[in-house]
Amino acid sequence: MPEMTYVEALREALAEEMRRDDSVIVYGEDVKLGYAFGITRGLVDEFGEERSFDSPMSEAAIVASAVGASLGGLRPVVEIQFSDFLTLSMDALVNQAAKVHFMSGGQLKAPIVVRAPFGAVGVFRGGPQHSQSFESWFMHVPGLKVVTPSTPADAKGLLKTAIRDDNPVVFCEYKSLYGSRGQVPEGEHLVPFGKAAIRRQGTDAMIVATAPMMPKALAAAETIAKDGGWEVLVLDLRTLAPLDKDCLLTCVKQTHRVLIAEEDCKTAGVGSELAAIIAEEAIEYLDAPIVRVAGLDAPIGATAALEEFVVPDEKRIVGGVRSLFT
Amino acid sequence: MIEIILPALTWTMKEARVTRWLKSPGEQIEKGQPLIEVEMDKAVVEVESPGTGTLAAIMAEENTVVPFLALIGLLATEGEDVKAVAATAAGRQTAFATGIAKEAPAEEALSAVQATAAAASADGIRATPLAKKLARELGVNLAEVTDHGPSGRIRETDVNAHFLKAKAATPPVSARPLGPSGELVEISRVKRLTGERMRQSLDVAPHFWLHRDLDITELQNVRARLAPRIESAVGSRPSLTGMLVKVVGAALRRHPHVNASFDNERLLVWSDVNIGVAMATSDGLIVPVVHHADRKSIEEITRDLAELRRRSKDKDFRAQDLSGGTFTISNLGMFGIDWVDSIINPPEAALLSAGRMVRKPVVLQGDIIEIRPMVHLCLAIDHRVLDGADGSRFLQDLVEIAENPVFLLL
Repeated sequence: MPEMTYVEALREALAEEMRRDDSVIVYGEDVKLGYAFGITRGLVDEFGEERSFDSPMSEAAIVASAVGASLGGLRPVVEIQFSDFLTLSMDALVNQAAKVHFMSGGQLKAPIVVRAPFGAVGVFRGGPQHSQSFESWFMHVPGLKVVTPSTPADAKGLLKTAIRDDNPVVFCEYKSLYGSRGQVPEGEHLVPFGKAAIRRQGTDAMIVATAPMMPKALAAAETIAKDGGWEVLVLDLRTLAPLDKDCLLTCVKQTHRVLIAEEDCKTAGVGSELAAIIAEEAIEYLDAPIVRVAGLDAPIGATAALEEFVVPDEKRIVGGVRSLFT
Repeated sequence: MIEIILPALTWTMKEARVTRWLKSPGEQIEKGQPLIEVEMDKAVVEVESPGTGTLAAIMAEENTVVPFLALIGLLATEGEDVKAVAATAAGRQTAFATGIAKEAPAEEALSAVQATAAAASADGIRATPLAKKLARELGVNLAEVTDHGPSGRIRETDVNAHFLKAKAATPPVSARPLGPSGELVEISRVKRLTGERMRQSLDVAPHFWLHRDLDITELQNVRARLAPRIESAVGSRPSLTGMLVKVVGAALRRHPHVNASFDNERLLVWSDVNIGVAMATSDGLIVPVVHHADRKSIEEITRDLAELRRRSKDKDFRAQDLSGGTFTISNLGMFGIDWVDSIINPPEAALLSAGRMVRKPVVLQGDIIEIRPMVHLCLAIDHRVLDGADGSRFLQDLVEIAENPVFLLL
């Protein structure tokens, strides 16, 4: 099985889908150059400027035009350079893309994919306006799908599924994972939405981690196994909307102790929804209060020290798991 | 004004029940006179007045449970206004409960508990949802679960542990359907508490027993020679038990780590040598204590033991008579027993029991056989505090002193 980076996996997915379906187009700021993170680099060479082109510097225009294009029959995959700038596309996403199918009585659909790099990352040091994660904003809008791959294999498989989905998809990529390597199956590799993956088995406790926290969660589980002898299950939800609630609750019932690890700010973040679901539907299986290890409710500063202060690390996860046993 | 504080009567408990005030407010009392009757553990003891004066205020009513060192009354001294002193009591009053601290009924059948399992969700009991669910399923009453995690919550593992413990307790004999006929008889409080104490002692302390025959020839000689003088001084003759108290006191001075208790991974080595002497009463077994036995003469020990026996008969113990022991001696010789493997009196580390005197042939130096008065000693030891070598050395020393009483002069 070939090994490649998260970035290469995304590029392969885009290329394969563009080959398979003429209606798939890719655009955004500096997409031809593949500026910033390089995912779209080279697509223009294979598919030409009609299918891979640069947009004006207006996130509102990018997504709104994508909605329009999709209503006209195309399947646009647009790139927003930093997740933080999605704020400028909110109306197009929330009031247009997410509503069009409902408001047209099912007659219209907006099969757009909006990709953006989310989160903080060690090397890049983006600072307060280039490091945020607000997946929970999009989870909160009925009509939007929210996809969060944590591995190269999932990046490719989920992007292909997203492009083929007739619904608007917010495709959350993670700067901290762009350079990660992993094995990606050859051939037609599709990962379905709403199917979580158990990355590590365990019965003593569980960590459900959002994508950027997955490597830290796995490392924490190994540390705990060595120190405390506890086996911690690590669950990768893969897609936040649709959410694999069955798998989540089954894991809760099996382990009785839940820690949610997320990079986004704790207040009203992804974890709060997961915790509420668990409390509503599996409270009698809990042997400890649910623990959320999340980013501090603070902007992420532009220096290493400030970033490390706000973004949770493996140690905080280990400490959180230990508290589940008190 | 003198504060009347409930003294810490024993370190194995944290509270006691005030049963009777022997004086009423307005009455005079002298320092050292008995003022309050307090019930704790196995007996009712008297607490003496801390000073001379007029009882101004009673701040712990009869039949309330009071923690040690709590303020329970006020004395007005000479020249003070009794009413003024009494008035200050109101601001310093603590609310004491009437409920007894804890007497877990180990023999209660599980089926009886199932009915109250529903009440387990009452307020005040902190338990995780899983623990509550498990308690319901197992019929465990959460109010009876004493274990909990560091957070204070009762967890699944705590409910499980409690369930297994309760399962291990056998159901009451009277609940068995077939068997011989009989009647239910009340057991005295002392007997019940003793039984519980002994069970706990065996559960918690890993016991082992060392045996040794003691030649009491020399000890008897000393006893006979001292008897007339001691009798005229304190009114009773020294007993073999009293002699053993003296010998053990000296041996403990030489082996301070036997005069200790195991305290949660460390040893608590006591600086005082207080030897308890097991006594049988109509209520059951009690162990009054001879304090500072290592510093007392045989005359003083004889006097103390006689006084303790009298108090036992008259049920007239003082607070410190039954507490503070660091070692126990049990002499079953008077009951015709050869030897007994005793159970240690917690939280002490060891117990010496003695059997009856039997005249036996003994082979002495030069292969000469003589008939000697022998008493069999058994030293019960808590292995967390001492191992075989430590215990053996102590017993050896003890026997050496007993067989050579002149060593008491060292």
